[in-house]
Amino acid sequence: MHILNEARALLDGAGFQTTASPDQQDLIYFEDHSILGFLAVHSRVEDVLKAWEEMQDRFLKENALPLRTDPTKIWNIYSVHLTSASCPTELRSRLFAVEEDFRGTRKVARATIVTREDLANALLCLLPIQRLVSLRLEDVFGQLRQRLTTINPLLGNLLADTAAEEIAQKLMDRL
Amino acid sequence: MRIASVTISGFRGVRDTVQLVLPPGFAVVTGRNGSGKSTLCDAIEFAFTGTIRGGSKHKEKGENIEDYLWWRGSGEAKFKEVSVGLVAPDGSTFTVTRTPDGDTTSFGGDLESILCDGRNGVKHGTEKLCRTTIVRDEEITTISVDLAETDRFEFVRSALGTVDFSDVEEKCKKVQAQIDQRAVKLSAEYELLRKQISDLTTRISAAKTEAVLSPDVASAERVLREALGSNIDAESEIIPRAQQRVAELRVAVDNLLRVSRSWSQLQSRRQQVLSSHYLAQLDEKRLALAKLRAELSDAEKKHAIAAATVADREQGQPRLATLAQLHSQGKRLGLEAGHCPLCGSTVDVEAFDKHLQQVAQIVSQASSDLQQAIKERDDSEQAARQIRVQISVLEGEERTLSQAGSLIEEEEARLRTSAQQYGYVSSEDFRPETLAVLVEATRELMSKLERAVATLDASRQLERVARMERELVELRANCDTVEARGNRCSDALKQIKDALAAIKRTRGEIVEDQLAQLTPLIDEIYARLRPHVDWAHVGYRLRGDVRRFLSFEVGDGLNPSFLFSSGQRRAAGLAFLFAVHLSREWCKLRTLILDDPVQHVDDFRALHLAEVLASVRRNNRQIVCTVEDEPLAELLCRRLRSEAGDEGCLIQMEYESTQGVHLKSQRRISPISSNILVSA
Repeated sequence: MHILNEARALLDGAGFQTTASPDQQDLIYFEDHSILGFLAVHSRVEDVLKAWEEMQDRFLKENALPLRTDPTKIWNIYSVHLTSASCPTELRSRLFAVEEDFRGTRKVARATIVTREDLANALLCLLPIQRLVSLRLEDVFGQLRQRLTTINPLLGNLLADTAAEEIAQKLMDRL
Repeated sequence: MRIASVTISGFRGVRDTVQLVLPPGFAVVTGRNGSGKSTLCDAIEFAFTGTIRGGSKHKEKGENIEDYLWWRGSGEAKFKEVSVGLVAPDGSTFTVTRTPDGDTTSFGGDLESILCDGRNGVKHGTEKLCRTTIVRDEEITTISVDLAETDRFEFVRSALGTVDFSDVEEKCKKVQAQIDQRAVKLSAEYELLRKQISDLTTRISAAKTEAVLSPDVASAERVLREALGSNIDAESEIIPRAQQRVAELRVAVDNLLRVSRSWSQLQSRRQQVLSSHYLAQLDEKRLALAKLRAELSDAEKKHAIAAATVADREQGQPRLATLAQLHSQGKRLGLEAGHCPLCGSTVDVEAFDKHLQQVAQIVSQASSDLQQAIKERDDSEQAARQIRVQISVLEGEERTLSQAGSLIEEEEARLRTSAQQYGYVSSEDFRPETLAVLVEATRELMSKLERAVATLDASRQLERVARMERELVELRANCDTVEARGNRCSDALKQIKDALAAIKRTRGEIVEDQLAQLTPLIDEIYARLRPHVDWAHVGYRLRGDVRRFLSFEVGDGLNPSFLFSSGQRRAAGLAFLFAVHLSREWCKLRTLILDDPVQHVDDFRALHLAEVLASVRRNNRQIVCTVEDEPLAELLCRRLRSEAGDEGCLIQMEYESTQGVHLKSQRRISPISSNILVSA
């Protein structure tokens, strides 16, 4: 999976405008009416840990002027750092600490991005709800009727207008 | 359907009136503790359901939350009213208002029909709706992660609007009760029949034993007919008549024996009366009687004399009384100058005293004589009386002795009559030997009749046995019928139990299916909230066939209820509640209300929560969220995506002692201008 291409597709699908960095191959920019930021793909977790801060500062510096035009949006900047490499156990906390750093931008730092699902999970904070379900009731009464009539065809009357007394009488008479 | 406005007057912490206009996008409400943030949530719930916090049963000193719904602070509330305005997607508006007197709606209809889609069979939808629409800080974990497994299952079931088949279940239970009642009756009937069979079997066995002992029926019947005469038509009369005859014979024997005994005693008595000793005794009595009569004559004469003497002496009593008076006067007066005071004669003292003494002697002697005469009269009278008593006794004895013979003859005649009454042939010469023969013959006849009765009765027993055996067959058939009916009831009951289990199982499976559909959403929101660094996914486990249990799992079957901290549990609970909230197909209200959901949640996870709410917003939901922290409120306003036509606002609430809770400010959140990077 090409992380950058898939990420662009996902973000585009979520209503973001994405642009590729003119000077960096594994970097794209994204923005919608509320959020903006960049997404970088790294080879290793160590690279993420090494580069995230410098990339963030550079982004803020490069876009300082337009960001000043909307003092609200400046609070909604995201920097996303992804790698397909798995995270060594000893680095897991450090990678997590990147996300916990509130300075400058909201950080997303994730490793082991191998599948599209991994990618979507990593970008959840930018995406609308992905797995909305509309719970509809199927023919539950038909399902129950089937079960009841298997026990005794007369028990189907439980779902009809037949009075309880009548059902009881029929059950006792016809068994 | 969204909430367009909330008006609160004299309710909870609001004394005067607070009117909030909620934009379609979101409203972030901030303020310090007691500034009325929770009152806003309470007001919405109260307007919808007429109660708050699920009608909490918590009581203290006899009071509960219901007693504090309306303003109880200082000063008087001018109005007491809560009103919530709703707006539908087509722009139509609805208002529900509640006062202490009740509720009214602007549309005159049922609020539930506005808020819920009744086609999904959800009952009490407004109350269920509130449980996953108004998410309170203190309830986030208690109604989700910390809920007992079965309660959690029920919560999910009711929140998802799953059909619960309660009507079918209720009818099934009624059928069960009917059959149960019938089964109890049949059981009692069966027991009664079994007892009757047992009793009848015992009676048949005894009757058979009796029947075996009596072989010659014809002979017995002939004997009885001979003894009773031939005027018996019905066979059924033979035995009762024979038994009556035997009874009569028994009485006859008893009486004849008594006559015989009495006759013997009478003859002995007769011998006694005729004896010389008896006659001498009679003579002796008569002599003694003659002697006593003579003595009585003497005594009566003596008494007559004594009585005459007394009468004579009593005639002299007045004179003696006068003498006694003279003696008394003379003694009292004494001599008067040598003269007798009575007669005036000259007398000396000695002679005077001598005269007085003589008078006293005369009086005394006369009195003594009278007493003596009275005593003699009384003694003679007493003696005569005693003699009369002795004569009376002797006369009785003499009469008894002299009349004994005639009494014996009278008794003999009575006995003879009695014997004749019981079969003795009349004869002048009554003979005890003949009477004995009669007794023996009667006894023999009685015995013969008794044997014949027993024989005939035994033959009747066979018929009775046959009849009872037929009865037994009928009873057994009845018993079999009742038993079969009882078995049918048992089978029916078993089927009803199976039906009830099927209803519960189906109900559980529907929830299970819906939960299976819901799980990816729960997991997604959980992943967004990231409560735990290691456990990135959450699942659930259902167990129990009829009674269902629902528990959450992270990692390899670990229970977050015990594994997570309170903040982490809160995040997991929110994931669960948001997922349920977003999946309620039956709910038409598109508003999610959160009352301070970030307590105990760190900044990092509060940020995640803001992002989740932003994503919920993008799902066309209105968000109302109260937070105490102002920077967090600002953050929420930035992240919740205020857009043109779907804007948000920041509301600041405040409490002041003089006016209670009031609206401090309401600021519109302007949509953020787009395309900074693109334009750059």
